[in-house]
Amino acid sequence: MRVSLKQVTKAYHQNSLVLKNLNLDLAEGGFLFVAGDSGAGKTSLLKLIVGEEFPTSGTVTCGGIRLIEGAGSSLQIRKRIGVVHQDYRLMKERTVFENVAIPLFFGRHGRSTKPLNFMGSAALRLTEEVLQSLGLSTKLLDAKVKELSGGEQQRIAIARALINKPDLLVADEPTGSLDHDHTWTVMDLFQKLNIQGMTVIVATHDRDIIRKVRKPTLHLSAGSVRVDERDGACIF
Amino acid sequence: MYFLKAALLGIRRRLLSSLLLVVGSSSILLAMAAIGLWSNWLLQQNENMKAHRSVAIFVDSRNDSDVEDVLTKIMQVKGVDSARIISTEEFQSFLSQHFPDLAAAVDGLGLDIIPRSLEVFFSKDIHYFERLETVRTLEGLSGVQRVDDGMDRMASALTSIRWLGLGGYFLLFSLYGVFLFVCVGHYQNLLYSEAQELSLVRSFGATKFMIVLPWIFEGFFQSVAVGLVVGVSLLGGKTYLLEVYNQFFGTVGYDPFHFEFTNLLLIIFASMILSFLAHLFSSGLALLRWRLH
Repeated sequence: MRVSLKQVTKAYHQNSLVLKNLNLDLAEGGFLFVAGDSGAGKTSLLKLIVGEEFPTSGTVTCGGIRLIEGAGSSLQIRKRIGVVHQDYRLMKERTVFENVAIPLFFGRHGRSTKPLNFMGSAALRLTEEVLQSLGLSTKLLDAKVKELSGGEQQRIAIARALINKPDLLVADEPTGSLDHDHTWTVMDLFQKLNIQGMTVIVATHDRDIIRKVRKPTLHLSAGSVRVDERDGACIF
Repeated sequence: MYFLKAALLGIRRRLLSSLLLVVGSSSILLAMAAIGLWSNWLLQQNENMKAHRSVAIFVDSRNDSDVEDVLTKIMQVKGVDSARIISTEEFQSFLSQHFPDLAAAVDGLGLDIIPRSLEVFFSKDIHYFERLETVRTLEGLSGVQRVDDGMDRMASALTSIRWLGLGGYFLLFSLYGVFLFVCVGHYQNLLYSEAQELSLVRSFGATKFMIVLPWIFEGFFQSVAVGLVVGVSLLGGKTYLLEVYNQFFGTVGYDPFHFEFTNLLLIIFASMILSFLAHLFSSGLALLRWRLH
């Protein structure tokens, strides 16, 4: 899914300019890191891309559809985007299965236009597959999320973002609570999915990951932008 | 299936507030049912009193053939349904019963002193002004000495009953307003307490209808419970209170309060529908007022 931002400015209050005149064009199947210190605007940028926030000025386009507040088309685009939130946003009273499989019901699966039967065996199979790909045991399916460790919860959030095979994956600090091995399990999976055609945007302040993965990086610093373009997939 | 499960999970998670809402809703709807039934009964009494009202006509002659003659004339007047001659013995007995303090004096009266009278019944569908016109016509008939109409006393009684009945209906609507207010508050709280989960579901592309659907199921289950509680309570009321109520009102000449089984079913069904409509309205309103991205 192609992602374009044109002259995007985002301010929450009159004196708090988070992003200023940002231009970004990420081609379909591209991979982009968004780096920067805390408060640099990484999360705000990702929220603009997934349509959770809207720009003060400028336009955001995903998959050729301009994201407009309240528009039904924005809602349709969300079904094609997998999001890993920095704070996980899990339903802690519910089971792992309910958390991971829920996008299948509200959204879609892969290229299919119809939602899957939430209680059907296909949903269970897909949940097991995605958990295994992230190094999680399928025995956790019936466990309540609140009973899991921070690292497990983070991987549950990633599994939920990936289960419906989205066209665009937007991950905000997806490895913040993971140990070294699990961090690389996740990053390897992201790269594998990117090779298969998924557009991936990862916000991180882990320089080690950015250095080793070697993908284009957008450095945000107090609203200004510096680009470290490595493979030409990203045009600014 | 997901929506159903989400609704059941919601009820389980908010068991106490769900129970309180069911109890509160049931109390309001039970009061509404009782007031509605009572108002309906009062207005029915009003209609019955109008329909069965009669007037007494005193004849200026004591001669049987004259009285028969007046009766024939009365039966030809428009608006009169039936009429009958009251015998002097019946009249004396009526006086003795209704004025027991004067019973001895009344018994001492000679039958030839008591005036001859007739009781006239109006047609059931007669209008107020038509009845006035009929009374005027009766007063003008030859041989009629006096028509005891009692219109003023009756009119004030009828007005009081009608206002009581209408007041009951007003109270009924007011109570439903209170019920809606409680429901709107409940969903507003629900929205705040589950804002994060709703935002999350929305981020997966859930429409507003998808978000509100579990609430609709929840509202349906609660409405069924409300209907059952109202039904059981009314059944209890019918068993233990109806007899006492009728004993009291029977002594002042009202018709007995009948509460049929079909009425009970109707009230249970109406309670469920009213409760469900309130849930639908409140959940929809809460969602409309919430600014969803």
